[in-house]
Amino acid sequence: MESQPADLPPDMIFEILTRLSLEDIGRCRLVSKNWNRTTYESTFMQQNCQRAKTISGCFIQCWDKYEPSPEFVSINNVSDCDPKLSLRFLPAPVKIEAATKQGILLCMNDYRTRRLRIPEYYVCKPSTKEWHQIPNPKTRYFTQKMAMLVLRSKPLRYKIVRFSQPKSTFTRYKSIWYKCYRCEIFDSETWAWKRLKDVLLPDGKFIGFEPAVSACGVLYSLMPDNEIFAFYEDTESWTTFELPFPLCKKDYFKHMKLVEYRGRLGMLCMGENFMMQLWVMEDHDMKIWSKRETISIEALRDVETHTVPAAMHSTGVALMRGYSAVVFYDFKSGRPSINVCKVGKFFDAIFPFQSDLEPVHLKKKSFTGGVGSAGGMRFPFLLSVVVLSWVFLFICSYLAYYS
Amino acid sequence: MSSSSSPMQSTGRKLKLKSKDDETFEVEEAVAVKSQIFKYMVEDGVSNGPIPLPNVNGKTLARVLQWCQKHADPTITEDELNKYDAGFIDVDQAVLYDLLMAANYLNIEELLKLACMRVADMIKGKSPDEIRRTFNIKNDFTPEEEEEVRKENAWALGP
Repeated sequence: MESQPADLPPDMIFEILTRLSLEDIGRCRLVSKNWNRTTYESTFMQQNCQRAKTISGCFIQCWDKYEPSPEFVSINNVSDCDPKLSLRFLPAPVKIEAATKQGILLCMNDYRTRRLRIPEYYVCKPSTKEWHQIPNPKTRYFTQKMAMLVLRSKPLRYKIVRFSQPKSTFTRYKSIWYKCYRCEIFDSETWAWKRLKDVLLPDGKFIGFEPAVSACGVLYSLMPDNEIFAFYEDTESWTTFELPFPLCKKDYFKHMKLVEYRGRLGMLCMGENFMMQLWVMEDHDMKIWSKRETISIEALRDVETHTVPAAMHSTGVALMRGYSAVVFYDFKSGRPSINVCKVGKFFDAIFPFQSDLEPVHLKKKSFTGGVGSAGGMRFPFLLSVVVLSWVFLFICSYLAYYS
Repeated sequence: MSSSSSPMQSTGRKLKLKSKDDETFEVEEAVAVKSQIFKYMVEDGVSNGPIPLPNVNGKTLARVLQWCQKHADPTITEDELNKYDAGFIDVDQAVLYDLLMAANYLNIEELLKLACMRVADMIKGKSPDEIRRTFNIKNDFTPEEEEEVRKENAWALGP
Protein backbone atom coordinates (compact mmCIF):
# COMPACT_ATOMS: atom_id res chain seq x y z
CA MET A 1 0.00 0.00 0.00
CA GLU A 2 3.05 2.24 0.11
CA SER A 3 3.49 2.21 -3.70
CA GLN A 4 3.25 5.65 -5.28
CA PRO A 5 0.65 6.17 -8.02
CA ALA A 6 1.86 6.51 -11.60
CA ASP A 7 1.59 9.83 -13.40
CA LEU A 8 -1.91 10.77 -14.49
CA PRO A 9 -3.06 10.50 -18.12
CA PRO A 10 -2.77 13.72 -20.22
CA ASP A 11 -6.48 14.59 -20.15
CA MET A 12 -6.48 14.43 -16.34
CA ILE A 13 -3.40 16.63 -16.16
CA PHE A 14 -5.23 19.07 -18.44
CA GLU A 15 -8.30 19.05 -16.16
CA ILE A 16 -6.15 19.80 -13.12
CA LEU A 17 -3.71 22.36 -14.52
CA THR A 18 -6.46 24.47 -16.12
CA ARG A 19 -7.69 25.20 -12.60
CA LEU A 20 -4.42 26.83 -11.49
CA SER A 21 -3.28 30.46 -11.40
CA LEU A 22 -0.85 31.74 -14.05
CA GLU A 23 1.94 31.59 -11.50
CA ASP A 24 1.27 28.00 -10.52
CA ILE A 25 1.09 27.12 -14.23
CA GLY A 26 4.51 28.73 -14.71
CA ARG A 27 5.92 26.46 -12.00
CA CYS A 28 4.16 23.39 -13.37
CA ARG A 29 5.92 23.93 -16.69
CA LEU A 30 9.14 22.86 -14.96
CA VAL A 31 7.73 19.64 -13.51
CA SER A 32 7.97 17.44 -16.60
CA LYS A 33 7.82 17.60 -20.40
CA ASN A 34 4.28 16.21 -20.30
CA TRP A 35 3.05 18.90 -17.92
CA ASN A 36 4.89 21.55 -19.94
CA ARG A 37 3.30 20.41 -23.20
CA THR A 38 -0.18 20.34 -21.62
CA THR A 39 -0.02 24.00 -20.58
CA TYR A 40 0.56 25.05 -24.19
CA GLU A 41 -2.30 23.08 -25.74
CA SER A 42 -4.60 25.06 -27.98
CA THR A 43 -7.63 25.13 -25.63
CA PHE A 44 -5.64 25.33 -22.38
CA MET A 45 -5.79 29.11 -21.91
CA GLN A 46 -9.46 29.25 -22.87
CA GLN A 47 -10.32 26.70 -20.17
CA ASN A 48 -7.99 28.37 -17.68
CA CYS A 49 -9.71 31.70 -18.30
CA GLN A 50 -13.07 30.19 -17.47
CA ARG A 51 -11.99 28.05 -14.52
CA ALA A 52 -9.36 30.20 -12.83
CA LYS A 53 -10.59 33.63 -13.91
CA THR A 54 -7.45 34.51 -15.84
CA ILE A 55 -7.42 36.75 -18.87
CA SER A 56 -5.90 35.85 -22.22
CA GLY A 57 -5.96 37.57 -25.58
CA CYS A 58 -4.27 40.58 -27.12
CA PHE A 59 -4.16 44.35 -26.88
CA ILE A 60 -4.53 46.20 -30.17
CA GLN A 61 -3.03 49.65 -30.60
CA CYS A 62 -5.90 51.44 -32.34
CA TRP A 63 -5.95 55.06 -33.44
CA ASP A 64 -9.02 57.28 -33.41
CA LYS A 65 -8.20 60.28 -35.63
CA TYR A 66 -4.55 60.49 -34.45
CA GLU A 67 -5.48 59.84 -30.81
CA PRO A 68 -4.34 56.47 -29.43
CA SER A 69 -7.18 54.26 -28.27
CA PRO A 70 -6.01 50.74 -27.37
CA GLU A 71 -8.54 47.90 -27.21
CA PHE A 72 -8.42 44.40 -25.75
CA VAL A 73 -9.70 41.25 -27.46
CA SER A 74 -10.26 38.21 -25.24
CA ILE A 75 -9.74 34.67 -26.53
CA ASN A 76 -13.10 33.78 -24.99
CA ASN A 77 -15.07 36.46 -26.76
CA VAL A 78 -13.27 37.28 -29.94
CA SER A 79 -16.12 38.97 -31.76
CA ASP A 80 -16.06 42.12 -29.60
CA CYS A 81 -13.42 44.25 -27.95
CA ASP A 82 -13.64 43.75 -24.21
CA PRO A 83 -14.59 46.99 -22.48
CA LYS A 84 -13.69 45.61 -19.03
CA LEU A 85 -10.02 45.83 -19.96
CA SER A 86 -10.05 49.34 -21.34
CA LEU A 87 -7.21 51.69 -20.38
CA ARG A 88 -9.52 54.63 -19.71
CA PHE A 89 -8.62 54.54 -16.01
CA LEU A 90 -5.28 56.11 -16.97
CA PRO A 91 -5.04 59.91 -16.79
CA ALA A 92 -4.77 60.41 -20.56
CA PRO A 93 -5.04 58.52 -23.85
CA VAL A 94 -2.01 56.27 -24.09
CA LYS A 95 0.02 54.38 -26.63
CA ILE A 96 1.09 50.91 -25.51
CA GLU A 97 4.86 50.50 -25.64
CA ALA A 98 5.12 46.97 -24.25
CA ALA A 99 2.97 44.21 -22.77
CA THR A 100 3.89 41.18 -20.68
CA LYS A 101 2.30 37.81 -20.08
CA GLN A 102 2.14 38.66 -16.37
CA GLY A 103 -0.54 41.29 -16.93
CA ILE A 104 1.61 44.43 -16.82
CA LEU A 105 1.62 47.09 -19.57
CA LEU A 106 3.99 49.94 -20.28
CA CYS A 107 2.18 52.93 -21.79
CA MET A 108 3.13 56.38 -22.96
CA ASN A 109 0.94 59.43 -22.60
CA ASP A 110 0.94 60.61 -26.17
CA TYR A 111 2.81 63.89 -25.89
CA ARG A 112 1.11 65.39 -28.91
CA THR A 113 -1.79 66.16 -26.64
CA ARG A 114 0.35 67.79 -24.01
CA ARG A 115 1.45 71.40 -24.11
CA LEU A 116 4.92 70.74 -22.72
CA ARG A 117 5.54 68.02 -25.34
CA ILE A 118 7.26 65.86 -22.75
CA PRO A 119 5.85 62.34 -22.65
CA GLU A 120 4.83 60.56 -19.47
CA TYR A 121 5.28 56.84 -19.00
CA TYR A 122 2.97 54.67 -16.96
CA VAL A 123 3.13 51.06 -15.87
CA CYS A 124 -0.27 49.57 -15.22
CA LYS A 125 -2.18 46.38 -14.58
CA PRO A 126 -5.41 46.76 -16.58
CA SER A 127 -7.24 43.89 -14.83
CA THR A 128 -7.03 45.64 -11.45
CA LYS A 129 -6.83 49.22 -12.81
CA GLU A 130 -3.63 49.83 -10.85
CA TRP A 131 -1.19 52.26 -12.44
CA HIS A 132 1.88 54.27 -11.61
CA GLN A 133 3.91 56.87 -13.43
CA ILE A 134 7.60 56.02 -13.70
CA PRO A 135 10.44 58.56 -13.82
CA ASN A 136 11.19 59.72 -17.34
CA PRO A 137 14.20 58.49 -19.26
CA LYS A 138 16.18 61.03 -21.31
CA THR A 139 13.20 62.10 -23.39
CA ARG A 140 15.12 64.61 -25.51
CA TYR A 141 16.30 61.54 -27.43
CA PHE A 142 13.72 60.04 -29.74
CA THR A 143 12.52 56.60 -28.64
CA GLN A 144 13.22 53.87 -31.17
CA LYS A 145 11.95 50.98 -29.13
CA MET A 146 10.92 50.03 -25.62
CA ALA A 147 10.47 46.59 -24.13
CA MET A 148 9.57 45.20 -20.72
CA LEU A 149 10.28 42.01 -18.79
CA VAL A 150 8.72 40.83 -15.55
CA LEU A 151 11.48 39.15 -13.54
CA ARG A 152 9.38 38.10 -10.58
CA SER A 153 5.71 38.28 -9.71
CA LYS A 154 5.83 38.01 -5.90
CA PRO A 155 7.00 40.55 -4.99
CA LEU A 156 6.69 42.22 -8.39
CA ARG A 157 9.92 43.19 -10.10
CA TYR A 158 10.19 44.33 -13.69
CA LYS A 159 12.68 45.99 -15.98
CA ILE A 160 12.14 48.28 -18.94
CA VAL A 161 14.69 48.68 -21.72
CA ARG A 162 14.71 51.72 -23.93
CA PHE A 163 16.64 52.29 -27.16
CA SER A 164 16.72 55.87 -28.33
CA GLN A 165 18.36 57.87 -31.08
CA PRO A 166 21.16 60.06 -29.70
CA LYS A 167 22.09 63.44 -31.18
CA SER A 168 24.65 61.91 -33.51
CA THR A 169 23.03 58.81 -34.92
CA PHE A 170 26.25 57.56 -36.46
CA THR A 171 29.63 57.10 -34.95
CA ARG A 172 32.94 56.09 -36.43
CA TYR A 173 35.23 53.56 -34.82
CA LYS A 174 38.42 52.25 -36.45
CA SER A 175 37.31 53.72 -39.80
CA ILE A 176 33.98 51.88 -39.75
CA TRP A 177 30.69 53.73 -39.44
CA TYR A 178 28.18 52.42 -36.93
CA LYS A 179 24.57 53.27 -36.26
CA CYS A 180 24.35 54.29 -32.64
CA TYR A 181 21.52 53.73 -30.15
CA ARG A 182 21.41 54.99 -26.59
CA CYS A 183 20.44 52.17 -24.27
CA GLU A 184 18.83 52.70 -20.86
CA ILE A 185 17.31 50.27 -18.41
CA PHE A 186 14.71 50.95 -15.72
CA ASP A 187 14.53 48.66 -12.69
CA SER A 188 11.42 48.73 -10.52
CA GLU A 189 13.66 47.69 -7.61
CA THR A 190 15.69 50.92 -7.72
CA TRP A 191 12.93 52.98 -9.33
CA ALA A 192 15.48 54.62 -11.57
CA TRP A 193 16.88 54.54 -15.07
CA LYS A 194 20.46 53.51 -15.66
CA ARG A 195 22.42 54.15 -18.81
CA LEU A 196 24.04 51.13 -20.42
CA LYS A 197 26.69 51.02 -23.12
CA ASP A 198 25.48 52.29 -26.47
CA VAL A 199 24.37 49.77 -29.04
CA LEU A 200 26.51 50.04 -32.17
CA LEU A 201 25.23 48.36 -35.29
CA PRO A 202 27.14 48.30 -38.58
CA ASP A 203 25.91 50.98 -40.94
CA GLY A 204 22.84 49.85 -42.83
CA LYS A 205 21.46 47.77 -39.97
CA PHE A 206 18.93 48.95 -37.43
CA ILE A 207 16.70 47.58 -34.70
CA GLY A 208 13.23 46.86 -36.08
CA PHE A 209 10.14 48.83 -35.08
CA GLU A 210 7.82 45.94 -34.18
CA PRO A 211 7.30 45.22 -30.46
CA ALA A 212 10.08 43.03 -29.07
CA VAL A 213 9.39 39.36 -28.37
CA SER A 214 10.43 37.97 -25.01
CA ALA A 215 11.55 34.34 -24.58
CA CYS A 216 13.72 32.77 -21.88
CA GLY A 217 14.58 36.12 -20.33
CA VAL A 218 15.83 37.57 -23.63
CA LEU A 219 14.25 40.34 -25.70
CA TYR A 220 14.38 39.67 -29.44
CA SER A 221 13.79 41.93 -32.41
CA LEU A 222 13.86 41.13 -36.12
CA MET A 223 16.16 43.47 -38.00
CA PRO A 224 15.29 44.50 -41.55
CA ASP A 225 18.14 42.46 -43.06
CA ASN A 226 16.74 39.29 -41.41
CA GLU A 227 19.20 39.16 -38.56
CA ILE A 228 18.08 38.99 -34.95
CA PHE A 229 18.86 41.59 -32.32
CA ALA A 230 18.90 40.06 -28.81
CA PHE A 231 19.07 41.87 -25.46
CA TYR A 232 19.97 39.74 -22.43
CA GLU A 233 18.43 41.04 -19.22
CA ASP A 234 20.71 39.07 -16.88
CA THR A 235 23.96 40.44 -18.29
CA GLU A 236 22.44 43.69 -19.59
CA SER A 237 24.23 43.07 -22.87
CA TRP A 238 23.17 42.64 -26.48
CA THR A 239 24.15 40.75 -29.57
CA THR A 240 23.03 40.14 -33.13
CA PHE A 241 22.98 36.80 -34.87
CA GLU A 242 22.12 35.42 -38.27
CA LEU A 243 19.22 33.19 -39.14
CA PRO A 244 19.68 29.93 -41.04
CA PHE A 245 18.56 29.44 -44.62
CA PRO A 246 15.85 30.10 -45.79
CA LEU A 247 14.97 32.49 -42.95
CA CYS A 248 18.03 34.63 -43.68
CA LYS A 249 17.14 35.20 -47.31
CA LYS A 250 15.38 38.50 -47.85
CA ASP A 251 12.23 38.16 -49.98
CA TYR A 252 12.17 34.35 -49.70
CA PHE A 253 8.99 34.79 -47.65
CA LYS A 254 6.39 37.49 -48.25
CA HIS A 255 6.12 38.28 -44.57
CA MET A 256 8.03 37.23 -41.45
CA LYS A 257 7.07 37.78 -37.83
CA LEU A 258 9.00 36.90 -34.68
CA VAL A 259 6.77 35.17 -32.15
CA GLU A 260 6.99 33.48 -28.78
CA TYR A 261 6.08 29.79 -29.06
CA ARG A 262 5.85 27.60 -25.97
CA GLY A 263 8.44 29.67 -24.19
CA ARG A 264 10.86 29.70 -27.10
CA LEU A 265 11.64 32.11 -29.91
CA GLY A 266 9.75 31.33 -33.11
CA MET A 267 9.09 32.82 -36.51
CA LEU A 268 5.91 32.76 -38.54
CA CYS A 269 6.78 32.99 -42.23
CA MET A 270 4.15 33.60 -44.85
CA GLY A 271 5.00 32.34 -48.30
CA GLU A 272 3.26 31.94 -51.64
CA ASN A 273 0.09 29.94 -52.25
CA PHE A 274 -1.47 30.75 -48.89
CA MET A 275 1.06 28.71 -46.97
CA MET A 276 2.66 29.70 -43.69
CA GLN A 277 5.53 28.04 -41.85
CA LEU A 278 6.32 28.05 -38.13
CA TRP A 279 10.01 27.86 -37.32
CA VAL A 280 11.28 27.52 -33.75
CA MET A 281 14.74 28.15 -32.29
CA GLU A 282 15.24 24.77 -30.64
CA ASP A 283 18.66 25.44 -29.22
CA HIS A 284 19.16 28.72 -27.44
CA ASP A 285 22.96 28.62 -27.39
CA MET A 286 23.71 27.05 -30.76
CA LYS A 287 20.89 29.04 -32.45
CA ILE A 288 19.54 25.95 -34.19
CA TRP A 289 16.16 26.40 -35.81
CA SER A 290 13.70 23.79 -37.07
CA LYS A 291 10.51 24.00 -39.10
CA ARG A 292 7.72 22.84 -36.79
CA GLU A 293 4.58 23.43 -38.83
CA THR A 294 3.40 24.07 -42.35
CA ILE A 295 0.04 25.79 -42.17
CA SER A 296 -2.47 26.43 -44.92
CA ILE A 297 -4.14 29.82 -44.59
CA GLU A 298 -6.41 29.38 -47.59
CA ALA A 299 -9.43 29.32 -45.27
CA LEU A 300 -8.64 32.91 -44.26
CA ARG A 301 -8.98 34.21 -47.80
CA ASP A 302 -12.73 34.60 -47.59
CA VAL A 303 -12.71 35.91 -44.04
CA GLU A 304 -10.30 38.82 -44.10
CA THR A 305 -8.23 40.23 -46.91
CA HIS A 306 -4.46 40.30 -46.75
CA THR A 307 -3.92 38.64 -43.40
CA VAL A 308 -0.40 38.49 -42.05
CA PRO A 309 0.83 36.70 -38.94
CA ALA A 310 0.90 38.65 -35.66
CA ALA A 311 1.65 36.04 -32.96
CA MET A 312 1.17 32.43 -31.88
CA HIS A 313 -1.60 32.35 -29.31
CA SER A 314 -0.99 28.70 -28.41
CA THR A 315 -0.09 25.39 -30.05
CA GLY A 316 -2.33 25.29 -33.06
CA VAL A 317 -3.77 28.81 -32.80
CA ALA A 318 -2.19 31.63 -34.78
CA LEU A 319 -3.13 35.25 -34.25
CA MET A 320 -3.42 36.90 -37.65
CA ARG A 321 -4.14 40.48 -38.63
CA GLY A 322 -5.83 41.99 -41.63
CA TYR A 323 -6.71 45.53 -42.64
CA SER A 324 -9.74 45.74 -40.42
CA ALA A 325 -9.73 42.66 -38.23
CA VAL A 326 -7.78 40.48 -35.88
CA VAL A 327 -8.23 36.75 -36.39
CA PHE A 328 -7.61 33.81 -34.04
CA TYR A 329 -6.99 30.97 -36.45
CA ASP A 330 -7.12 27.44 -35.05
CA PHE A 331 -5.31 25.49 -37.73
CA LYS A 332 -4.83 22.27 -35.77
CA SER A 333 -8.45 21.18 -35.41
CA GLY A 334 -9.82 19.02 -38.22
CA ARG A 335 -11.77 21.85 -39.75
CA PRO A 336 -9.89 25.09 -39.14
CA SER A 337 -11.93 27.33 -36.88
CA ILE A 338 -11.67 31.04 -37.31
CA ASN A 339 -12.65 33.71 -34.78
CA VAL A 340 -12.68 37.21 -36.10
CA CYS A 341 -12.74 40.52 -34.28
CA LYS A 342 -13.66 43.37 -36.57
CA VAL A 343 -11.78 46.41 -35.37
CA GLY A 344 -13.56 49.62 -36.30
CA LYS A 345 -10.50 51.85 -36.24
CA PHE A 346 -7.06 51.91 -37.80
CA PHE A 347 -4.62 49.82 -35.79
CA ASP A 348 -0.94 49.01 -35.90
CA ALA A 349 0.85 47.06 -33.15
CA ILE A 350 -0.66 43.95 -31.54
CA PHE A 351 0.48 42.78 -28.10
CA PRO A 352 -0.30 39.22 -26.88
CA PHE A 353 -1.45 39.51 -23.27
CA GLN A 354 -2.25 37.35 -20.25
CA SER A 355 -3.20 38.41 -16.76
CA ASP A 356 -4.70 37.33 -13.47
CA LEU A 357 -6.89 39.47 -11.20
CA GLU A 358 -4.44 39.78 -8.29
CA PRO A 359 -3.46 43.26 -7.13
CA VAL A 360 0.26 44.00 -7.31
CA HIS A 361 2.59 46.71 -6.07
CA LEU A 362 3.80 48.44 -9.19
CA LYS A 363 6.05 50.60 -7.05
CA LYS A 364 7.82 49.16 -4.00
CA LYS A 365 6.23 50.25 -0.72
CA SER A 366 9.58 51.53 0.55
CA PHE A 367 9.49 54.30 -2.05
CA THR A 368 7.21 57.30 -1.28
CA GLY A 369 3.94 57.70 -3.10
CA GLY A 370 2.58 54.15 -3.11
CA VAL A 371 0.17 52.89 -5.74
CA GLY A 372 -2.10 55.10 -7.73
CA SER A 373 -1.49 58.57 -9.03
CA ALA A 374 1.18 60.79 -10.40
CA GLY A 375 0.32 63.50 -7.83
CA GLY A 376 3.50 62.72 -5.96
CA MET A 377 5.58 63.79 -8.94
CA ARG A 378 4.00 67.21 -9.43
CA PHE A 379 3.66 68.40 -5.84
CA PRO A 380 7.36 69.10 -5.06
CA PHE A 381 7.67 70.89 -8.41
CA LEU A 382 4.69 73.15 -7.68
CA LEU A 383 5.92 73.82 -4.17
CA SER A 384 9.34 74.91 -5.40
CA VAL A 385 7.71 77.16 -8.04
CA VAL A 386 5.60 78.85 -5.35
CA VAL A 387 8.57 79.29 -3.00
CA LEU A 388 10.78 80.69 -5.75
CA SER A 389 8.06 83.13 -6.85
CA TRP A 390 7.72 84.46 -3.32
CA VAL A 391 11.49 84.82 -3.02
CA PHE A 392 11.57 86.67 -6.36
CA LEU A 393 8.75 89.01 -5.33
CA PHE A 394 10.46 89.68 -2.02
CA ILE A 395 13.75 90.55 -3.74
CA CYS A 396 11.95 92.81 -6.25
CA SER A 397 10.08 94.70 -3.56
CA TYR A 398 13.29 95.04 -1.49
CA LEU A 399 15.16 96.50 -4.45
CA ALA A 400 12.25 98.78 -5.32
CA TYR A 401 12.09 100.07 -1.76
CA TYR A 402 15.79 100.81 -1.49
CA SER A 403 16.40 102.23 -5.01
CA MET B 1 -40.92 -1.27 -17.33
CA SER B 2 -40.91 1.02 -14.32
CA SER B 3 -41.11 4.79 -14.60
CA SER B 4 -37.87 6.59 -15.39
CA SER B 5 -38.35 9.55 -13.08
CA SER B 6 -38.48 8.10 -9.58
CA PRO B 7 -38.00 10.18 -6.43
CA MET B 8 -35.88 8.72 -3.62
CA GLN B 9 -38.86 7.45 -1.63
CA SER B 10 -40.26 5.09 -4.26
CA THR B 11 -38.42 1.85 -4.95
CA GLY B 12 -37.04 2.50 -8.40
CA ARG B 13 -35.11 -0.14 -10.31
CA LYS B 14 -31.74 -1.07 -9.02
CA LEU B 15 -28.60 -1.42 -11.09
CA LYS B 16 -26.09 -4.14 -10.40
CA LEU B 17 -22.46 -3.15 -10.78
CA LYS B 18 -19.38 -5.35 -10.64
CA SER B 19 -15.98 -3.88 -9.84
CA LYS B 20 -12.59 -4.89 -11.18
CA ASP B 21 -12.03 -7.20 -8.21
CA ASP B 22 -15.43 -8.88 -8.58
CA GLU B 23 -17.23 -7.02 -5.81
CA THR B 24 -20.88 -6.49 -6.65
CA PHE B 25 -22.94 -3.50 -5.70
CA GLU B 26 -26.61 -2.78 -5.97
CA VAL B 27 -27.58 0.83 -6.42
CA GLU B 28 -30.83 2.67 -7.09
CA GLU B 29 -31.17 4.13 -10.57
CA ALA B 30 -31.73 7.60 -9.15
CA VAL B 31 -28.30 7.41 -7.53
CA ALA B 32 -26.49 5.70 -10.39
CA VAL B 33 -27.55 8.28 -12.96
CA LYS B 34 -25.14 10.75 -11.36
CA SER B 35 -22.77 8.96 -13.72
CA GLN B 36 -23.45 9.96 -17.31
CA ILE B 37 -22.69 6.46 -18.64
CA PHE B 38 -25.31 4.90 -16.38
CA LYS B 39 -27.71 7.69 -17.28
CA TYR B 40 -27.49 6.70 -20.96
CA MET B 41 -27.77 3.02 -20.08
CA VAL B 42 -30.93 3.66 -18.08
CA GLU B 43 -32.44 5.74 -20.86
CA ASP B 44 -31.61 3.14 -23.48
CA GLY B 45 -32.82 0.23 -21.33
CA VAL B 46 -30.30 -1.90 -19.43
CA SER B 47 -29.76 -5.64 -19.18
CA ASN B 48 -30.43 -7.58 -16.01
CA GLY B 49 -26.91 -8.80 -15.48
CA PRO B 50 -24.33 -6.87 -13.42
CA ILE B 51 -22.53 -4.14 -15.36
CA PRO B 52 -18.80 -4.89 -15.38
CA LEU B 53 -16.53 -1.97 -14.48
CA PRO B 54 -13.01 -3.28 -15.12
CA ASN B 55 -11.42 0.12 -14.49
CA VAL B 56 -12.64 0.61 -10.92
CA ASN B 57 -11.80 -1.42 -7.84
CA GLY B 58 -14.33 -2.29 -5.14
CA LYS B 59 -13.09 0.12 -2.49
CA THR B 60 -13.18 3.09 -4.87
CA LEU B 61 -16.55 2.12 -6.31
CA ALA B 62 -18.00 1.92 -2.81
CA ARG B 63 -16.73 5.42 -2.06
CA VAL B 64 -18.02 6.79 -5.38
CA LEU B 65 -21.46 5.27 -4.82
CA GLN B 66 -21.54 6.72 -1.31
CA TRP B 67 -20.86 10.16 -2.84
CA CYS B 68 -23.57 9.65 -5.47
CA GLN B 69 -26.02 8.60 -2.77
CA LYS B 70 -25.39 11.77 -0.80
CA HIS B 71 -25.65 13.97 -3.89
CA ALA B 72 -28.86 12.29 -5.06
CA ASP B 73 -30.55 13.02 -1.72
CA PRO B 74 -33.09 15.84 -2.32
CA THR B 75 -33.39 16.65 1.41
CA ILE B 76 -29.77 17.65 1.88
CA THR B 77 -28.91 21.38 1.87
CA GLU B 78 -26.13 22.97 -0.17
CA ASP B 79 -24.15 23.83 2.96
CA GLU B 80 -24.34 20.26 4.21
CA LEU B 81 -23.29 19.02 0.79
CA ASN B 82 -20.27 21.34 0.70
CA LYS B 83 -19.24 20.20 4.17
CA TYR B 84 -19.64 16.60 3.14
CA ASP B 85 -17.58 17.13 -0.02
CA ALA B 86 -14.76 18.80 1.94
CA GLY B 87 -14.56 15.79 4.26
CA PHE B 88 -15.01 13.29 1.45
CA ILE B 89 -12.12 14.56 -0.64
CA ASP B 90 -9.71 14.91 2.25
CA VAL B 91 -8.03 11.60 1.55
CA ASP B 92 -4.52 10.42 0.84
CA GLN B 93 -3.07 10.74 -2.59
CA ALA B 94 -3.52 7.15 -3.74
CA VAL B 95 -7.24 7.21 -2.88
CA LEU B 96 -7.57 10.64 -4.48
CA TYR B 97 -6.04 9.37 -7.72
CA ASP B 98 -8.38 6.38 -7.73
CA LEU B 99 -11.38 8.67 -7.20
CA LEU B 100 -10.17 10.94 -9.99
CA MET B 101 -9.77 8.10 -12.45
CA ALA B 102 -13.10 6.55 -11.45
CA ALA B 103 -14.96 9.87 -11.78
CA ASN B 104 -13.42 10.32 -15.23
CA TYR B 105 -14.23 6.78 -16.34
CA LEU B 106 -17.78 6.90 -15.02
CA ASN B 107 -18.21 10.46 -16.29
CA ILE B 108 -19.37 12.01 -13.01
CA GLU B 109 -18.72 15.67 -13.71
CA GLU B 110 -19.18 17.09 -10.21
CA LEU B 111 -16.99 14.46 -8.56
CA LEU B 112 -14.34 14.94 -11.24
CA LYS B 113 -14.37 18.68 -10.61
CA LEU B 114 -14.12 18.11 -6.84
CA ALA B 115 -11.18 15.73 -7.21
CA CYS B 116 -9.37 17.97 -9.74
CA MET B 117 -9.76 21.00 -7.47
CA ARG B 118 -8.30 19.00 -4.59
CA VAL B 119 -5.27 17.96 -6.64
CA ALA B 120 -4.93 21.58 -7.85
CA ASP B 121 -4.96 22.72 -4.20
CA MET B 122 -2.15 20.28 -3.51
CA ILE B 123 -0.11 21.88 -6.32
CA LYS B 124 -0.74 25.53 -5.38
CA GLY B 125 2.25 27.38 -4.07
CA LYS B 126 4.63 24.43 -4.38
CA SER B 127 7.96 24.62 -6.17
CA PRO B 128 8.50 22.29 -9.15
CA ASP B 129 10.68 20.02 -6.97
CA GLU B 130 8.02 19.79 -4.28
CA ILE B 131 5.36 19.04 -6.91
CA ARG B 132 7.49 16.24 -8.33
CA ARG B 133 8.03 14.77 -4.87
CA THR B 134 4.35 15.02 -3.96
CA PHE B 135 3.21 13.26 -7.10
CA ASN B 136 6.24 11.08 -7.72
CA ILE B 137 6.89 12.50 -11.17
CA LYS B 138 10.15 11.97 -12.97
CA ASN B 139 11.99 15.04 -14.21
CA ASP B 140 12.59 14.17 -17.86
CA PHE B 141 14.17 17.48 -18.89
CA THR B 142 17.86 17.49 -19.75
CA PRO B 143 19.81 20.05 -17.68
CA GLU B 144 19.96 22.38 -20.72
CA GLU B 145 16.23 22.06 -21.42
CA GLU B 146 15.45 22.64 -17.75
CA GLU B 147 17.59 25.76 -17.72
CA GLU B 148 15.70 27.19 -20.71
CA VAL B 149 12.28 26.44 -19.22
CA ARG B 150 13.47 27.90 -15.92
CA LYS B 151 14.55 31.15 -17.62
CA GLU B 152 11.20 31.47 -19.35
CA ASN B 153 9.24 30.89 -16.14
CA ALA B 154 11.65 32.48 -13.68
CA TRP B 155 9.06 35.13 -12.84
CA ALA B 156 6.83 32.45 -11.31
CA LEU B 157 9.51 30.85 -9.18
CA GLY B 158 9.52 33.38 -6.36
CA PRO B 159 12.41 35.18 -4.66
